[in-house]
Amino acid sequence: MNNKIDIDRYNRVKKTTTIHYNMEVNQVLSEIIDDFPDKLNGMTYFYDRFRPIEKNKSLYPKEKKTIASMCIHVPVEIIYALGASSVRICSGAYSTDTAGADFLPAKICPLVKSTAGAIYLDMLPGNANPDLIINPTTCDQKKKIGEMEDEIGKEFYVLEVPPSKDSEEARQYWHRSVKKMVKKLESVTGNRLTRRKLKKSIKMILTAQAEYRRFMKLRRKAPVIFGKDAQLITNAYFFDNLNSWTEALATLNDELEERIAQKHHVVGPRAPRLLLTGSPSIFPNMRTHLLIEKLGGIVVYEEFCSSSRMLSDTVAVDEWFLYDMVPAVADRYLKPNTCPNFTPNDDRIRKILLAMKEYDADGIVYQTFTGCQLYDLESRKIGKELEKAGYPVLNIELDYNPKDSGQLTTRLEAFMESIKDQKRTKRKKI
Amino acid sequence: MSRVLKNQILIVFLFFSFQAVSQEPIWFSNQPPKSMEKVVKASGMHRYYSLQRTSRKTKTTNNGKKYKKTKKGKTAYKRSATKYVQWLRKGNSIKEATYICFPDSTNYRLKLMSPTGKEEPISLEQNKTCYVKFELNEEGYYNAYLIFKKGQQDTLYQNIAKAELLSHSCRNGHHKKLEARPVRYYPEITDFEIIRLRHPHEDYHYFASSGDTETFKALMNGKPLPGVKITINTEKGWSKTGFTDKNGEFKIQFLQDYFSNWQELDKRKIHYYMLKADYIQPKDIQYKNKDYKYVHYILTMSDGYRPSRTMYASMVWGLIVFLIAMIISIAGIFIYKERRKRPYKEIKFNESNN
Amino acid sequence: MKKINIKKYINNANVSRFRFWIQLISFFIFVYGGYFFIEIGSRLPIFSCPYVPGSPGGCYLLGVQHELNSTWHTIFSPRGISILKSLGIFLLFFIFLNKAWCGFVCPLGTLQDWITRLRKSLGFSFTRYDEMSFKRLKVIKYILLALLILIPLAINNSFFGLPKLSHSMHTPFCKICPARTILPLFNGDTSQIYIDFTDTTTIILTSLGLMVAALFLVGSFVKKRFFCFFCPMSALQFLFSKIGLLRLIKNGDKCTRCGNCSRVCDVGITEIADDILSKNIIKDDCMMCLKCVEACPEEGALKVKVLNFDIFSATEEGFFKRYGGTSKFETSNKDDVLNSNKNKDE
Repeated sequence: MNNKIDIDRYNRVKKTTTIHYNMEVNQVLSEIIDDFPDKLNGMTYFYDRFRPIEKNKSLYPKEKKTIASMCIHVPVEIIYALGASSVRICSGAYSTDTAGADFLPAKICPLVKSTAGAIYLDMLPGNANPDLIINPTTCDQKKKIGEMEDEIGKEFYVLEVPPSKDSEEARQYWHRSVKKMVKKLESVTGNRLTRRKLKKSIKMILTAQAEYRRFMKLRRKAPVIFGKDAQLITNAYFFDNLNSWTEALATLNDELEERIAQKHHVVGPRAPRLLLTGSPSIFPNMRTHLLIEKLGGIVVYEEFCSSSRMLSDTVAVDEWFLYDMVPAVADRYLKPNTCPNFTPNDDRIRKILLAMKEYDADGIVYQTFTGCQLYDLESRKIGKELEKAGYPVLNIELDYNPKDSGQLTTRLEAFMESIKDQKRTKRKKI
Repeated sequence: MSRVLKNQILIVFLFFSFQAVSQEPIWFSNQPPKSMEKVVKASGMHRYYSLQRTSRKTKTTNNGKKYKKTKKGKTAYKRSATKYVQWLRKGNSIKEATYICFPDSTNYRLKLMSPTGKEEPISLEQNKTCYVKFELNEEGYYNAYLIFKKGQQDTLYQNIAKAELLSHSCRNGHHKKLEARPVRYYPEITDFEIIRLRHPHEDYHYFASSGDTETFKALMNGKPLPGVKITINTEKGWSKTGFTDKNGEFKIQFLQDYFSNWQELDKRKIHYYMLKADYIQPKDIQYKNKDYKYVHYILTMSDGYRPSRTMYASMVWGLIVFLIAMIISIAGIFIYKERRKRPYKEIKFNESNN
Repeated sequence: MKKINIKKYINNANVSRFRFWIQLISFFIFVYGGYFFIEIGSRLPIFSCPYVPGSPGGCYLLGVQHELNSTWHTIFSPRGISILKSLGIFLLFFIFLNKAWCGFVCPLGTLQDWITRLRKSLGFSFTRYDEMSFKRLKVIKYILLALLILIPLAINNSFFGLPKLSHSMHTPFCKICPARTILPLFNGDTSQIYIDFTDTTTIILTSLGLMVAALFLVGSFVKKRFFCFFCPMSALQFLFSKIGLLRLIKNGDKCTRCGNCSRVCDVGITEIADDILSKNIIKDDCMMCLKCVEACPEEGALKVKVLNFDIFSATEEGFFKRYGGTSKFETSNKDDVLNSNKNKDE
């Protein structure tokens, strides 16, 4: 961006994208809020998180450094312990997707394009202006964005993630690369990682996780909340202030408990209960959720890196010293992680099978973004395993472009009808 | 020795001037006579001897036949409790004492009392060499007594051979550890008795060793008896005489009286001693239709002691080895950790073979 | 309702703290109990060392070495029954607590835990074996077990025409066992720190014993439960661990393989996290300290059972109580507080 023409062009693109983005956000939000009359008071907080923020305001205090991460593999405990704000910048916006397409190949995953576009146009969640973007070497497409530092104009730090997680070597390699990351972050933030701070941040995240797990338990008990709302909650975790997020979730949980006591359900007992997995849904890409739930179904569990995978797994430390805490934190992002960039990844199948049982789901919708190779590759194996276990599976492929919903609606409708039929015959048999 | 003995003799003479016949005491010994060394086997910490059982292979050998008369063939594989033996010896010093036999007519009482105070069978085998044969089934100290009386002029000699036999095998566990301390004595068997007092922390693993002080106590009908003359003889001929004090106690410290190179030192070697207690009591007593004015008690006990721990065990060396090992292991760990600080260097190739 | 709450109370409990106190009490019983006229028998599945003057019992390993110190002839005669009898007594003791004898009762294990506490208070880092060393070194305890059985036999019997071993080799394991040298020190008895110059065998064995004692102290300072990894008692117990009443059960379907359990494991067992097929997850190095159950956040993935009754299982709530116990979480669980209050009123 050396010459004036480029800067002008950049500003023009940014302006139009911002307008498009705001339109997109408002439209999806109104769909989420207004199309479903049964409202939860506790959700207002989370809805508000997603409303566009004014240009010169930011969610993050200026005196703190902001560290952005591109995937769930980044140990956020360490970021918080070093006194920085953490923001995950994966984007689901179609508007930034088109912006990213300017300098990225057309056939790659929309999430990557959208994220790259958002970084390039400085349109990150909460108007974050990250001092460092940590880019873990997960899928090839995300990996390669890191090489576009010049073009995107931000500093990237490559966090090396091993391609496998089962071997001892992988674990050692990962521990080493997390330790290296700590050193880098120490130099960026100017703070030293201490025992007390890390312990405090681990406990802070554990508190959030405890609240999240309580939330999931309530979701399991009765259909008192829609999946689209649940997805928004975990989505807000990407960029929200952790303590207020936990507090808001606690209030919501209390409300859900009341609903359970009153038997105030959002859907009837015959509604198909679906499990959603595959490429992650990130606001404002909430199409699958919205389609399913508008058609009378309910999403009971999401196996996404934007939801359960990010929050379920905990840190357990034996000795509260850095020598044990750092590896413990690192392990949480490696061992239970079901990201398809790891091979083998049988844990994901087991996790889905368990969730099917625990959440009493009737079927699975496996969504793949066009160009997302890893999820696409895994869909076959997972589909087979689940069908073996007797669950109906629907594979859908979608883009961030909201216009191709027509065919999707038909397929989802048919799938849900068949589930309803199955349920009916089952009930008759009993 | 001689001075004490002279004094003693003097005292004895003062009171009972007619008492001139020196009585050679009879005592229980754990040492086998030369002729039997091949057919006996020592076992346990106290090295008690038992007759070697004849197994099928060796049953035809002469030795086996000679001494093992009872149900030889059948018992070979049918194992009951081991039969231990103690020999009978007569004499004042261990060196010169002879192995003796009683003629059948001799009037004697043989008793074995278990640690719980029950009477157990004990029998006298009469062959070329005589020995008593018994079993040790319970855990603890058994008391064996051989008492015989003999009248001479107006004195009734009462020779009491006593043995305290410890029955303990680590094989059977250590559950009765604390019962090692109480000492049992039996006034109903013999009114005069000498007991060895137990040490405060004594357990079944105790064995006197050189340097240890032992306390013996004389009892008459269960009450402490002062003024009993006690003589202790050791294997090498050393002897000591003394009298029990007003509590009836007599203390003696055993000292090793032989020395060898440490290579030849056997820490399990037992050096035997023989204790003899003399006491004359004026007492009108009838025995075998004869009246006697005095009773002369002669009580014998034999046991052993081992070389002192300091002869073969060195705590200083122990500490040195311990500290060196500690330093080496600390250094080893330190070096290992230092080496680990250089990462990526752990894989090395051998480049010696082109 | 009340029963469920008791279960919940146990599942939320801090077992490690409970274990600390149990260990403290057992240490006193097994090191000083003899002075208080406690006698427990000499076939115990722990290092209740008879060389300790105040020990109320005996370690079965000593018994085994003594019993096998006899000829074939004796072993296969009616006297051999006593060997089986004492094995039976050992098993009777053993099956109640299974390997929890090591984690909760063994005084030598407790001592190592205390050394670990000392290290922690000094802020030193611990070490772990890497995978290869772990696999290689874990064989040592079986070798020691085999030796402590074979050497006493070889003293009295000739194997393959080889000469019989010297009697100085009797109770070979006790000679090198760190419990013999270190535990009596707690009774103020230093008599076990010595080199026996009787013959070459005793010199070697007693020096080895002191070296092991030194290594024990240094090793357990840098490695948690250093000695347990080589303990032949642990190997012997593992041979019978399947019949133990107390069991550690894993539900592989619920496991996310997050590795919490294997990280907090003092011995460093990785199978507890990675093995999703076995139900019975007690491994030979396990000492059933139950830290893994404490660290498991997955509802019912790990369970401690007596016969078929769950007595302690991994729960979400318990996990967060122990690891994330911030006030925020506690206040948000309103109904729990209410329930426990009700319970008290009853």
